Amino acid sequence: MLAYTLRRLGGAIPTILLLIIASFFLMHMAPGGPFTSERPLPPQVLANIEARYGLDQPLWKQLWDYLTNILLHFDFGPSFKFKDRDVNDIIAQGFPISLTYGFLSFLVCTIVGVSLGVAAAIKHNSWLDYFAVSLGIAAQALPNFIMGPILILTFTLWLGWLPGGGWNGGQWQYLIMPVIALSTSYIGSITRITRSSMLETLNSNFIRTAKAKGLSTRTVIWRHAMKPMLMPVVSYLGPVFVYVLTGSVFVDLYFSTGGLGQAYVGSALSRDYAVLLGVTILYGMLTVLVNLATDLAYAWLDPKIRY
Amino acid sequence: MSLLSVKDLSVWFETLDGTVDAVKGVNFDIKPGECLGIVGESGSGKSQTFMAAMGLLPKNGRASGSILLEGQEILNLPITQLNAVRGSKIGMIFQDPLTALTPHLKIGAQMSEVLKVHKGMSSAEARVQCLDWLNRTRIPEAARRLDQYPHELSGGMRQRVMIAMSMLCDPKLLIADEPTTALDVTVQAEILDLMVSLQKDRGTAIALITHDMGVVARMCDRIQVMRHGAYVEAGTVDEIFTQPKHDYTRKLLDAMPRIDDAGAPGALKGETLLNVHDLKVHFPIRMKGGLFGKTVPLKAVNGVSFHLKKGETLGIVGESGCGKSTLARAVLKLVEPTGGNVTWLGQPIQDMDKKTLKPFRKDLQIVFQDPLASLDPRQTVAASIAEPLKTFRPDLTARERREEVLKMMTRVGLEPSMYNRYPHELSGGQNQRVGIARAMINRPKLVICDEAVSALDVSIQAQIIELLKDLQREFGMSMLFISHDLSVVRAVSNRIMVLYLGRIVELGDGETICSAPQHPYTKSLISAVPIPDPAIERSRTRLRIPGELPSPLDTQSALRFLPSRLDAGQTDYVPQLLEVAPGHMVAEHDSLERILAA
Repeated sequence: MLAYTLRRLGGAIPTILLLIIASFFLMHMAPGGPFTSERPLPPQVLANIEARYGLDQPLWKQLWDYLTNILLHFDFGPSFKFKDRDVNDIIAQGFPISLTYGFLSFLVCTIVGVSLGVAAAIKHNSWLDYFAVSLGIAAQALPNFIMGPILILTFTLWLGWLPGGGWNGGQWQYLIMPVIALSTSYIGSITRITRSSMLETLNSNFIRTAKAKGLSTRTVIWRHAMKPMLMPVVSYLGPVFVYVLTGSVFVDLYFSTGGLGQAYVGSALSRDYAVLLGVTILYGMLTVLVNLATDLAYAWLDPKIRY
Repeated sequence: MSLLSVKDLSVWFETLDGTVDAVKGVNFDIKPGECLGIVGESGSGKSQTFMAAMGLLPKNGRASGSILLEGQEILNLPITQLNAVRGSKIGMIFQDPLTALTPHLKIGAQMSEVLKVHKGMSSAEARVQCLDWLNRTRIPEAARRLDQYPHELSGGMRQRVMIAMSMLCDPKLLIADEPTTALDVTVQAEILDLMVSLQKDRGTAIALITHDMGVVARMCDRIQVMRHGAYVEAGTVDEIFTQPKHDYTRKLLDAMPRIDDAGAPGALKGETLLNVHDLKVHFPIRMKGGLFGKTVPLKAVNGVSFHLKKGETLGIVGESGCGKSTLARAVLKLVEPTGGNVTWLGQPIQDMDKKTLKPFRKDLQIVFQDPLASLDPRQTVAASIAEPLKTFRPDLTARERREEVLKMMTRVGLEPSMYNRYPHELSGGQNQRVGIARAMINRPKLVICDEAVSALDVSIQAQIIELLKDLQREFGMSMLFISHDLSVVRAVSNRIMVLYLGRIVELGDGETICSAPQHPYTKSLISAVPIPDPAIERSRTRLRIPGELPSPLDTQSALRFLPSRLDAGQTDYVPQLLEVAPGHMVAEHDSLERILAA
């Protein structure tokens, strides 16, 4: 198990390196730069600014400095747009916010989706099953950029129950709508996957064996069916976790939470490539980490995978 | 008083297309300690009878009538009451031991929960009892098995675990649903022996559901023959086998190929089509060890030489993992051989690239095991049959092609009206006819049948075998006939090759191999094959070579029949094939006593 984990980690490092290098070059291939504007700066001024950010160095040197700073000091360098702020500051300010409601959304969609899917499969072809299936389809048709305006229209403008935006230190009134907006469509897909996986598991031979042993229905489901049923669900949950963090770009904008998505979009518009690059790499690293966690969860669910 | 008394039992399924009757009002009794065989082909309802008794019908399944267990009605009991019966008074084992155990629970945990539920034992007490039962099933290293997961055990061991698990509470009745169908013949013999000894020692009655008349002849006291959801005939095992009254019973008995069949084909003379010399196929296998693991070669085929004459059928037998399918695929270059020569009509083909080999493919065809899975589900059967024509005879017009296909379809016994059907609309037997038509459409010189009849019911199997023999008489093609079922191989083969872990242990004409085998492994295989005749079955002695079939990765296992060389430290010695009589090759081996002593 330890060797397996180490091997997986070993595989993650070149992936991250490749990710950094590829993003770096892509960013440099984009036409224009952070300091090009409608009114061109005098060449001398531009050269001074570029020298200050190290942009006058050869490309390989820039990449080398960038890489070593990230890998040795976890430093993404200074922002091109905001003087006296570096990318680490911007991430440190926005990321906890995104992470908070992203993680809450993840919990909500996992718990609601899995419970609903399991219940639907156990009560196959009952009203509960039909309810779960229709809810699943309906929820899947409501991505966060549709849910956001609907929620604001309903609960802020019409009913006046909840604040329409802001963060306010993460008080619950400010959390509810972003979390709902973000999790709704995933509740739909998780319900569907869980339901069909559970139905398949309940039809399998070892469940028949468990029943033939005279075990109670509860034991059959919790002890024998749960883990195999979770396999496809977990492989979907990994990407969902990354989606709820990156998907929060829209939610950040609609609800003005001050999360990382706002900074991300802002930096793209103002060509603050340092921030853009830093956040991209951060999301990429997260994806790699989540995939690692998914693999380890697999090993826990299925003894065949324990190398 | 009877143990289980079934009265007027009907089982039906409610589907969107209406009700489907599976069992239509059957009556039977099982007495304490007896073995009742329920025989029938797939879809006859033989399993559903007992699924209803155990409350294991699918959700849309319904049952009516009465099933009394020691006078207590158990049909349609609420689950909570039924749970007191199943696993405790009735045990059940299933066909596929590979999927019948929960994959993520250790053997000990799965077994002991039965005792905890029914006897209220503590974990420690249950563990002792489980170990005791595992030992009784003669599973090697029983104590270690308790902490293993199902996937770490072989199929035979898993079936032993299933039996031990179902016997934990000393049930009065053991329902065995095709318990040995998925197992190799020597393992089957061991499992059947185990069931017989349980029946004797514990007085457990057995309901044996099977399609295999040979198994029935060995095991059962009484037999019920079932067809289309009803019993067509019932009687003692001797009555059924010696004086079958119903046509269907007779048909079933006739359809069973027998290894002691005198009318099977003999040796042939003629020109040699195919010559295989020292063929090797090794696969790299990643093993545990170190941070990155290591790679060891799995020698699936390890130096096999043989020839095949025109119009001849060579049977290839051996247990799972012996390399018989890999050998066939390597001959056709469907897998790349690691070494050796394959000569086809005097031309070496093993080093040809795809393009040069292509014209040869017209003469080299293969029929696979799973008829449904080996046909493209999105193509009509006619399109599948016509495909080789398009490749090898592009000059044909669409109309000529259609005529060729229709001619071949009629020849293999398919209605021309099935021309535009899809594989899922046909039965297993019909799909296999499509597979044969596709292989035969270009009149090949060699057809390889890789377990081509193994997935089919006995009566269908007999028809397909007959069809293959007919086609061979008409077109004169040679065949490599691969099967784990020795009786089937005997029925079609001129000569038989016995493989053990990638090497030939014996090769000779069918009669010699089946009635006078020389190698201990062949002897044990032949003696393990059940013969559908209770008188013969009772009088036969079985040669048992102890232990499970070893893994091909184990370097010592190749010398299982030459322990003297192992003792001498010659672990990489290769047993030589000796010609003991003209055309009869036997691999070197020690005396039987020496092998059994090792």
